[in-house]
Amino acid sequence: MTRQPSQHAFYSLRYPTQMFRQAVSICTILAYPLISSDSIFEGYSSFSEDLLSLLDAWLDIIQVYRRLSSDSVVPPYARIMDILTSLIHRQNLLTVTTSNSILREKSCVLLALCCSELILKPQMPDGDSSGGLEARKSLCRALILLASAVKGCEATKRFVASKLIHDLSTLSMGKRQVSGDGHSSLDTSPASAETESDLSVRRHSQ
Amino acid sequence: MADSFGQRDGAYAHRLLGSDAENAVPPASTLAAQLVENLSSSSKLAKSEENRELDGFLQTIQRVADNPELLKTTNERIEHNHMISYVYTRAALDGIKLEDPVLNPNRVRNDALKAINFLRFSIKETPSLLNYKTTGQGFLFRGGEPLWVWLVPRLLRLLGHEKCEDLQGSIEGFLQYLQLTAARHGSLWGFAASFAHYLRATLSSKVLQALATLHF
Repeated sequence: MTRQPSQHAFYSLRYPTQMFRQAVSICTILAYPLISSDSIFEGYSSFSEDLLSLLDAWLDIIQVYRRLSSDSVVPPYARIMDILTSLIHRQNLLTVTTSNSILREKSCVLLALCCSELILKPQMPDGDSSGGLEARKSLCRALILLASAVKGCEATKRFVASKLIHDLSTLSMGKRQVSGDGHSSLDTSPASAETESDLSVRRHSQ
Repeated sequence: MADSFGQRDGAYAHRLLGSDAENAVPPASTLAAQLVENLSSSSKLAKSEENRELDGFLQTIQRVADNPELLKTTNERIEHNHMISYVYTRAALDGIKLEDPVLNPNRVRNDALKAINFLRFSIKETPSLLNYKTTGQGFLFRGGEPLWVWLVPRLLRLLGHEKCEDLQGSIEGFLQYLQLTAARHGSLWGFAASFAHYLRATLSSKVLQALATLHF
């Protein structure tokens, strides 16, 4: 007979900021077996199922953050990008196969979203601060990977182009398209292309 | 070959206290007693029944520390490690009252880190501790669930809280260590699947759904 957990095995969360940070942490923990270089994890099964749910969770976190529009919780985009680039490399998603096409598309979409958010948000660390340098390194690694990933995948190429070309040119000119209330221009025309692509990638995975 | 409980805990306790230890460090049983004593003096464990329970366990822990040969089998060692883990968790983690306006963040960090380090050590020594179940009696704050089902929510309660920011890396690291331990021991592969399922369910049902219902 299976015993139900006692009342002592439950906990509650009260504050949205803790919910948000905990979501990010749990995703990081779930990603660990998928990105670890330890060969002991190579025997894990059902990778694709875990990876799909993890990518969906990351997407939900970013969408929730954009709804929260709070300065008190900022997704650690650089950290998420590092995890995604490790995931893509570790799971060999740059090699296009029939079985990994959805994973490849979804992970690249997510990576492009994170790059865009990192570039456009006012909280992006500047200059020579240690946080700024690390964020820029993460961004560069992500962009290099995306440049390889879009080859042979038109849908991904279109999405990345619509999301990043304009944002990167803004960054290179030293300007940011920030509206008066502190939010980025992601709320205007580029968002429609992003939402449509998000939905199409989600439909593929269902 | 039975390890000397005192020697093992001496080396472990030295790592816990770090370079600040001036003299020979006390064994883990004494560390547990110090934790309970500290919490009792600060009235965090005001209920006498809880104190009686922990005092009873500490006597058992001390008895074994004085005479390690009392533990003859692996199961007895697991049972004993479970008891110490319960004491540590109750004294250090459950004693953290996040709503306390005068909560000392340094005390929180130090107590939690000691508990996490001790749990990591115990799990390394007896990995099957993670799946240990009690009979449902004998532990005031424990049911019949596997230890990990009881323990993990106590860490998740702290994870991401603004008063526990310093603990984020340690808690994440500990939970990742559980995954690594499960991967290294075939007897824990069932735990690995259950643990991943638990984290995914927690993420989707507790966290993301709750955030999705918030209106701004």
